[in-house]
Amino acid sequence: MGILLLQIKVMLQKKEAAFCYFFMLTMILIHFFQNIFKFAGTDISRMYQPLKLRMLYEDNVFGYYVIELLPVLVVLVSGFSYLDDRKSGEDIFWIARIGGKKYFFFKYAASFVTSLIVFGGSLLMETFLYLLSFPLSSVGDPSNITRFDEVYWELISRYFFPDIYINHPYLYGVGCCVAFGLMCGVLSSFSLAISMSGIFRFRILLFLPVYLILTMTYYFKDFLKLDFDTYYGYYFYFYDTAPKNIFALILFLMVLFVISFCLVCKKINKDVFEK
Amino acid sequence: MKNLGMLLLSSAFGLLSILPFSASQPDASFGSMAVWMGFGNVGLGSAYLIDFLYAIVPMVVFQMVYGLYLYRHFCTASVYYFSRCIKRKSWFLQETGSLLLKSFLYESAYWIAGLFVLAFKYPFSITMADVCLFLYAVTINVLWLFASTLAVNILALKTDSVAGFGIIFGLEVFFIVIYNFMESLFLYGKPEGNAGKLLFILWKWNPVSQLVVRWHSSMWKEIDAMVNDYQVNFDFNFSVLYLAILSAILIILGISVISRVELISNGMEE
Repeated sequence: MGILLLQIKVMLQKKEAAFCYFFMLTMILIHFFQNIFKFAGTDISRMYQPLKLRMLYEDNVFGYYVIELLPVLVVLVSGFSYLDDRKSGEDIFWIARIGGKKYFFFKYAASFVTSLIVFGGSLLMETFLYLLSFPLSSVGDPSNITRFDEVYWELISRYFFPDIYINHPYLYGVGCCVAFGLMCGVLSSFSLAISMSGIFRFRILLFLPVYLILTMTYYFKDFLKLDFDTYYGYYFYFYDTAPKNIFALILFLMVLFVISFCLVCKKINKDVFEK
Repeated sequence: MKNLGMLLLSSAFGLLSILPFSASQPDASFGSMAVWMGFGNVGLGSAYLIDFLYAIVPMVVFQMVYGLYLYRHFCTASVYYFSRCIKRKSWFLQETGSLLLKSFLYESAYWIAGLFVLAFKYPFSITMADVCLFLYAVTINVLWLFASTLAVNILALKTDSVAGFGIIFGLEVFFIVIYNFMESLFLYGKPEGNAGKLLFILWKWNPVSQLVVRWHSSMWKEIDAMVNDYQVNFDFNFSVLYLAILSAILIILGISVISRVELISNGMEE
């Protein structure tokens, strides 16, 4: 466990992880102050629910930046950590100290947790910022559709787990941050597993698999004649109302997880000096 | 092998781009295909941001793969490589020429896939205006692809390939997302007032705007009838010149950067 924590600490100290965290933080803070100035002095009856003012509510320019840069950010946060280790020779030190099996598994797990901390953590911080700064009793929706309108409930039903949202909206808001972090974690550890497989000789190409996988999901809907949207952004936004399918999301993440797990196992069975 | 793979990938992107068009259009011409494949499904405002970001996917893939086309020579065995290639400036010009050719071939594969579908599905008819429009669209795309990929290489030399690509991709996303603020630009006809004119200049000088064929205007009326969505002066020649000058500036900058690279201090990138 101590080794895992040490690996996470090392990953979090890298400039790529710091850049991702500060990028998220910058977007969050600009959007937060924009909201502060926009809603200063607004009557509570006209205010929106605080958590729906967050950056990853749909139709928000800062949210767009984060979602569209996500294929690059998730790779950047911890995807290069194994290549960095190999470049500096640190991997040999780790393998000599704890053994190859533990090193690769801990590296993989640390990549997942680092991504969860960077993305999920920054979004959780945003959530608490909104909970502290805006009135919790306000219930309005930024779409300006009232609760007495049937359309409102139709839109709510398209959220993941609408019952949780209706009964515990703040718990739902926190859960969204954790889910976002977990999805980013799967993608980050997938890119790390790809880097371990040694398919790509140059670092820049490591962006390619995650970028292609995420962007190509857009076409799944038409090619597989599905009745729900498959654009990855809809699954990352917190309160998106596009028709989605949670089982498809879980299946997608499971496939990525299985592939990356197999790649890590393959790497463990290889000789350390083999690329 | 890599080049062939990239050409096949580009053709696949071309097919992905043209299929929604061929599925929805009962009748199509060569010109309308060129308009569609040249970012034809995008517009101003948040509703089009996703379409925009999908339209640049083929270009981003090229930037990733060829973002180390020049830079890779500085990564592994650079001292050996450049001891046999003393005139670095002429080497750089040769390599940029090769990169331009690769950009052209990659774009050609993308557009040929569109032409292939067009030729099979619709009766063949072609006019001089169609050909000119097609050539403008291809030239603009090739120039942008070349300039952006060269910029990735130059930035990679100063930093590393990840930062080089990250900066250029980040800028592309930034240039696209600012269209979100421009939704009202042409809402009431041509932009008026100082704020409107400033916004119009920002729109016109945005490098990504050059890629959207249907936003352009032309002195040739037959071409102008097929494009010019907003009825403003945004000539194709302006875009070609703008991207050609941008490419020339990047080549000059590249020569300056490449002659100052210390080979000894360069690490390996793997």
